[in-house]
Amino acid sequence: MQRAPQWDEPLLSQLRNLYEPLRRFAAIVGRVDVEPDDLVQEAFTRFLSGDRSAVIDIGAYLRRSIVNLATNERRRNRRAEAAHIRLGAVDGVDDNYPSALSDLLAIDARDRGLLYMVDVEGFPTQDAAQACGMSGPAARMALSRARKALRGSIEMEQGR
Amino acid sequence: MTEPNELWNQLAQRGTTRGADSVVHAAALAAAQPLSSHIGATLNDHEVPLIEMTPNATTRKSRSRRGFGAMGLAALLGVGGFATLSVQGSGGGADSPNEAVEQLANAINNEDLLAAVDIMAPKEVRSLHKSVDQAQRQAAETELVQSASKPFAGLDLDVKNLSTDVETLADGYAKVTLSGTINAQTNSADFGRMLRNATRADETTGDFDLADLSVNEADPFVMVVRDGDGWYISPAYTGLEYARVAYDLPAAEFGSADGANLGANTPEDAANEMLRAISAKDWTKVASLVPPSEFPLYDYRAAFTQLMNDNLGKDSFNIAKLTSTAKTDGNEATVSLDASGTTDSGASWSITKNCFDISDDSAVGHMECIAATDLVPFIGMRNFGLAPRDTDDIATLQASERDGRWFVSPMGTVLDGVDSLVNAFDRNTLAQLLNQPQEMTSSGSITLGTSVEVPRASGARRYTLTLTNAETVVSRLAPGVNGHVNGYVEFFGPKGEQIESSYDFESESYEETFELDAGVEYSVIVRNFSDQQLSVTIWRRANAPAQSQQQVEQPDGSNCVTTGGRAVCSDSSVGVAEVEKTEATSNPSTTSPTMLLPPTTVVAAKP
Repeated sequence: MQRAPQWDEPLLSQLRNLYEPLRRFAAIVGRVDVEPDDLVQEAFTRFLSGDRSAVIDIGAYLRRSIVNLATNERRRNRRAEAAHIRLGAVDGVDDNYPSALSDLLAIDARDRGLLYMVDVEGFPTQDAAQACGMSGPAARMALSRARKALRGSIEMEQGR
Repeated sequence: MTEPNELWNQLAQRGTTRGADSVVHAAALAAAQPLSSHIGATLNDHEVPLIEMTPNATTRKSRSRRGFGAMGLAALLGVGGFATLSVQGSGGGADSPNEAVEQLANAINNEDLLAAVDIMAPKEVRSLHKSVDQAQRQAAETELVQSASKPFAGLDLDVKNLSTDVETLADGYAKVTLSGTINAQTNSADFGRMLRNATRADETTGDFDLADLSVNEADPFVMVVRDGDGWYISPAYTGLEYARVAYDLPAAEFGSADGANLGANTPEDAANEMLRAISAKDWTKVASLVPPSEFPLYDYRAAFTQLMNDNLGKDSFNIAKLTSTAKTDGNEATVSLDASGTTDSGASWSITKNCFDISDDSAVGHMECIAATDLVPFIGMRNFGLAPRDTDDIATLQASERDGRWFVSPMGTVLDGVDSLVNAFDRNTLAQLLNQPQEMTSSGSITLGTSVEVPRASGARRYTLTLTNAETVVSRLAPGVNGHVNGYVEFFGPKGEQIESSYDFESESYEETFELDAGVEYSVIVRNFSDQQLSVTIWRRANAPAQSQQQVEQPDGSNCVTTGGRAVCSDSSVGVAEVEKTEATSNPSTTSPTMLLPPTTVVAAKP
């Protein structure tokens, strides 16, 4: 087995501690056909490869990286997505997913990450907006729309 | 039954978990390898932000960036004082392409906009005259700068290690390749008041590497052209050459445009022929109708043709009706189009004074009228309520006469739109751009429990709220007739600090909760992006009704929806909705509702 280069062990330990929340976040913002672990690993790799001296809040930096990786991946797969949509699928969502989950995945990845950070993880809107690469007003607007869309799909599923 | 948290959990736990040790180990291994061996090597490395991500550092960076951005804004709006003078006469240009670039660098070093514009191709910048006059007035009115005549006060620019390499492309046309850095330093003490507050830090500094302007692996450059005996920097040639390099398009035929043989006989003809040429995809003809001295598209006609053919596909349209009317003022004219026809796919289209309309019953259905405000180039600016106000014309082109021939003037048409935007730029817009909502003009004070009606598409409105006692308040927005809330409420303290809110995800209403102190004047910013009036109510939380909207079935079978003390009732038997005032109440139990429904089921009043 190839040996990992000598890294600062406290730094790697810090990444291990961040793994779980970042993995959940990657699962939220990433395409369904992209493994969350791969996104997290790529974000870690780029963090370790780059100039880390300017990065103080590693968690926020890595979230931002994951959002960018996820959205860039999405952009490249636009053609594939178009095919999915033509075939009736949403964002590569497996047909076995419940419709409410499909609707959740239909929300823009960045907006979905924002909604998750604010409504589930309890981040302040401003911090979540920064992590997702959005301005404050744009984030507020995106939150409002995403909440509305999600609420509507849940209500529809519940037959109300 | 699927609950939101359950949904999030399902999604968050998807995929195969390899575990922290495995992922970190793999990342550490990959980080030691060249980038190409990374698992995600297909990802564009440049698209991952290498930025400071610490609360303090990002705050500083944000302010610093905002400061430089704001200085750019100041330059745009304050440009008038200098440019008005400079466009009236040229300084004669430089003796060589190299010297032109050096003069530009010196102008930047001295923050001397007059000298900078002086070295620009005079025929290209003369159409700026009207725009800069207008910008000058707006800069003074909005107090963006301390003095409109000194737009760069507080900014110190320094061009370092500049080196140039001249390549002659044709007689009188040269490409000057650049390297070096530009250092920018700001001293906020010399800024206008609002700008000073926005930047906070006394001094900020930053470097800009000219190499960042590289495109398609080509070094950064400017195009320099000879006009008479002098050499000038050409923004138009530079922009076109950058596009040509970026898309790997055919080279230009420099100097091939003979203005006397291009253009049209009248401004109406220029506009009509332009539209017909676009319809026929005759891109050389389109290029021939653009004034070559102002925007040398004709020299780049081969590149332009390839670019358009590569990107527009095979779809086309025909013209069944085309009428244009020109209002001429000297050698300038405003041309209004009224045209209609069909597309290859059978859709019908029309363009009239304020609306571009296309409908295709067989495919995409009817598209709503697109007005000029929908096409504002700075879409983000619409969030600040900044959109053309003076004109809604979408079918208006600017034409100009050069050497007896008439051309459609892209600069004039674009600047016309810019003028409209600048006209709309007021103190409120500036306050929002600089994130100082407390500086916006107040539209009134808010009384708890009383709804405020915010006009449609009004961007942001500021209201004030001062409480006698510290309170927890909730803000509620009434959805529009389509059930959507296209707006939101924010609270800011006296220094512009945002008051964080909490939001109950399980709540059926669009409400946010804020903790407010006593005796503080809060700025309540309400943004309405919809085409309907938005109703906002701030409640003392203890007094807030269970829902801001309650649909109540009446004994006569009609439904009423109450919103902030107003009731909208509908009667399905006659299909007509009526609006009537009801007594405002802060206690929902007094209304004795027999049926409560979520906001999405609100029955709309007849417009």
